[in-house]
Amino acid sequence: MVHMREKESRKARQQENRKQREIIRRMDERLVAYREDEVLFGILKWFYTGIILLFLLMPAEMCLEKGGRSMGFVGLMWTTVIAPMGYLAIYRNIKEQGKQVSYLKKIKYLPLDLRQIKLVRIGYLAQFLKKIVLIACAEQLVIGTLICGQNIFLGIAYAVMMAGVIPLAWNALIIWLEK
Amino acid sequence: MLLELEHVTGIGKRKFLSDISFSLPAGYLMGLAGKNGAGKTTLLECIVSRKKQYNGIIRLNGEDIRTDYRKTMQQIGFVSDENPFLFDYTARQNGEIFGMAYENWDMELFLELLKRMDVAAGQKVGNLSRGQFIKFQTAFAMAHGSVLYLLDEATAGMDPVFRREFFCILHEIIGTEQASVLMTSHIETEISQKMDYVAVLEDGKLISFGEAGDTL
Repeated sequence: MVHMREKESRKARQQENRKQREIIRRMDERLVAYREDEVLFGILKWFYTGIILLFLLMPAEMCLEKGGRSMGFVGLMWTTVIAPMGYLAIYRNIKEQGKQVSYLKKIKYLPLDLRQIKLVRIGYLAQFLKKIVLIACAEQLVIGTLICGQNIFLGIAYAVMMAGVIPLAWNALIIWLEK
Repeated sequence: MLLELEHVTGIGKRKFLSDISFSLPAGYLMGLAGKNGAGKTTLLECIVSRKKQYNGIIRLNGEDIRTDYRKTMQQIGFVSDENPFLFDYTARQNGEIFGMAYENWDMELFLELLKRMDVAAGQKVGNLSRGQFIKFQTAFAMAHGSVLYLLDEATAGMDPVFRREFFCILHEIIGTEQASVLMTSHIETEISQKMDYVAVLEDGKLISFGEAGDTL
């Protein structure tokens, strides 16, 4: 009986959390739509994506060799630190009277669960990176495997790690620790 | 009881507050009086803040407010200069965006209230005067069906005409919505004449509590 009640309350909580995430997404949509700098963020998004894909054009083997490591490192920094931060900036900060103000501070008295907000942000990032991983895998297959003859698994593992796992893990941690 | 505080003692940066207990039934105006620095704002922050930096119990409608922040804030309308709305967005846009967070949000009512309170819905919130900002927040709180209104020095610096009008609005709130208002103020006449209950704070301690006529 107790077990059943626990299960039901867990289910209700999950449902409530799902509802919260949906509200947060709708709030974000509206917030972005009203931003005066929305177009600028759109352009920046394409810029970040373009640079990531340029870095990932280089076959994995070349990046792992001694001479290509510095290039690989710069690429990793871009995909992990610069691009995701720039991509998420539109949701994390609000420009107000010339200053950037944290969105979390703006909603501090609203009936929203901070954990759900953070999960939504991580979800945005995962969606963004998922597309990049797919294109990066294609790049590695064509340039790395078909043209340069590198091992197919090495190319895919490299694309998944560089454009997916490492950036997602790092930025999820940053988002989760944000106050 | 709508709001009950039992031996509330601040911790951390709110440790200044010491052993505060009182209760407020639904349908009344209560003044929280005291000099600057007496702990009035700190006490309100204990109720609305996500971090519950206090020992003791605060109940809203019989439920400990620590258990569910979302549920608590659905029922509270907080009006304060420190309330961080979107200042570069218009009053209407603020309602459209932040209103979504509330289950009982009524956009039509919000716009109607803004009109009645003479606040332009198309004006950026950052450009509103202090009085208009207070009215805007009151309209926002009313539009999401608050049952407890927490007003932090809302009438400070207001001209007498506006203050009278503001109290008419508050009486309407407690009369029609069966809500209560807890309002900080250091204007003694305002508290003694307009409030039903009064709690007086001094150096973070509650020194008296009761009906307005008896307490002041």
